[in-house]
Amino acid sequence: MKKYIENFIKYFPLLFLLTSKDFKLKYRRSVLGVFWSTLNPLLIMIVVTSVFSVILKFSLEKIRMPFAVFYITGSLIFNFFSEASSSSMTAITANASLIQKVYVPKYIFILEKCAFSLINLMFSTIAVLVVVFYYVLKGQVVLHATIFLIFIPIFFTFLFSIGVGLILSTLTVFFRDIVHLWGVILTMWVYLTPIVYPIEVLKFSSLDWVIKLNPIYYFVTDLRKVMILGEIITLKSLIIESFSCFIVLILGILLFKKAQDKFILHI
Amino acid sequence: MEEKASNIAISVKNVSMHFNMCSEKLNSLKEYFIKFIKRQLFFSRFIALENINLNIKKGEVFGIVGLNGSGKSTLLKVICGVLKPTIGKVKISGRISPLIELGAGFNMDLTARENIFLNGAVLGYSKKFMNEKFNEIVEFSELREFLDVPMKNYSSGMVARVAFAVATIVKPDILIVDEILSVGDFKFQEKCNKRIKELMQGDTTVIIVSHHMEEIKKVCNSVLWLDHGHLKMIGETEKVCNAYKNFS
Repeated sequence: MKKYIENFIKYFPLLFLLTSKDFKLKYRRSVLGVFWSTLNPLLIMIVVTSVFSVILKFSLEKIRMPFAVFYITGSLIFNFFSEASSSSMTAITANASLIQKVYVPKYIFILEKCAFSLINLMFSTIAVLVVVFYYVLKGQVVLHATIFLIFIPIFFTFLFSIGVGLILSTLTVFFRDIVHLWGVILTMWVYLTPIVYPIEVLKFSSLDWVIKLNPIYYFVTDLRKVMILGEIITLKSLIIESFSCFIVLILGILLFKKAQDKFILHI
Repeated sequence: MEEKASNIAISVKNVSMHFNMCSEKLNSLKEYFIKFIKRQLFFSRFIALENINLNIKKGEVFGIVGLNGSGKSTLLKVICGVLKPTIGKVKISGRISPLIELGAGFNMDLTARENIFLNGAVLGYSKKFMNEKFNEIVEFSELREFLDVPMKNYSSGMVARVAFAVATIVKPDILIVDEILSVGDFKFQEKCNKRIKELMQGDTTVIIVSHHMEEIKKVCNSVLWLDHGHLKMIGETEKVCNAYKNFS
């Protein structure tokens, strides 16, 4: 265990530099630069809000907040998960040339992608705050002190994404078509997460249960609770969240650790 | 051969490396399942290294010779820690600087300045250390005026200069050289050779893989001859080189 920690500390500068490399490359030669990460969710929110707030007119009183706020908070979490998992999925295969030549702890690449997505999430959070303050000024949202607890659901999503990223990156090394499959799964997943619709819509359908098995449902709901509604995360959902993160992380670590020595033969 | 453990830089013990070679390369889940159901999954075992034992002393210049495909590069990768041996153990004391392929880990979209720091981190150096050595690296590569140009605009010789400079900034305890001394123009080659010789005279252990017998004879203390993954001969440079020459 001590050996692993020492190794991690030794390669921490690499983690940092790789993240800043991604950051620089993403925004190099773009005029608005990093503001795209803020602007993007805002623009999508405007489109989604104008369409769905009309479609879902009847169930909107259930969400207890303006639809724009409801949507942008939900998509904050899911976009992070989607970006982190998809980019860490190809992290190993994309760095093949490096892995084949120099010894580097391979999990660094997955951590790096998740850390980079976390940085993007911070810029998207600015967009969320802009929307929230807009509705605070309009008097439709009240600010609560619990807003400072938003790091809890974000932290859980981060851990969950690392676990999923470890599993996906391992599978991708052996089966490249996981990349296409994951695109389909993510689309299914986003529809099974209450992001554009309130969960109450499904109250009496069988999908209700499916959604409650989805860890991201809890992350999203808790983010809305602490950020907008001023409620505290319940012990029950804390337990569910930490339990699902734990399971996925352990699964990911075990799978990755077992397979990582064979990576080089398949990349 | 009884040696004191503290004198040994690299000890390779009973190392074997087997590859499972699939008769066809299966890269997709769909193919895998189809073959699995049809029971057409065949693996054949390829033995790249078989029971290799060797000890390399500190400060020694060690040469590896052998025909193409004899397992030289596989052995180097095992020593570097890139490949994990199927059986056996490799013990390394000290820091390895691999020159296996110069410029591994360069990102061509980044500038040279950014790449120097990135490559330093890949080799496990701290940021503070890289800050101290940065000027020395730039000095050595003689490319100060192009520091902030993306490396995709560099010529291959210029890339090699930067890579060589980064890999040899510190005196590594173990330096691995795999046929690289043909980079850059003749002037830079001289400079590289001088740098490597400096390292060899110090207490750096050097492992060289080369097909230039003259060069091996000139610099190595002892030589290992690999043949189809087997250790054919190990010992004094002159003896092994002559045997290898007569054989091939």
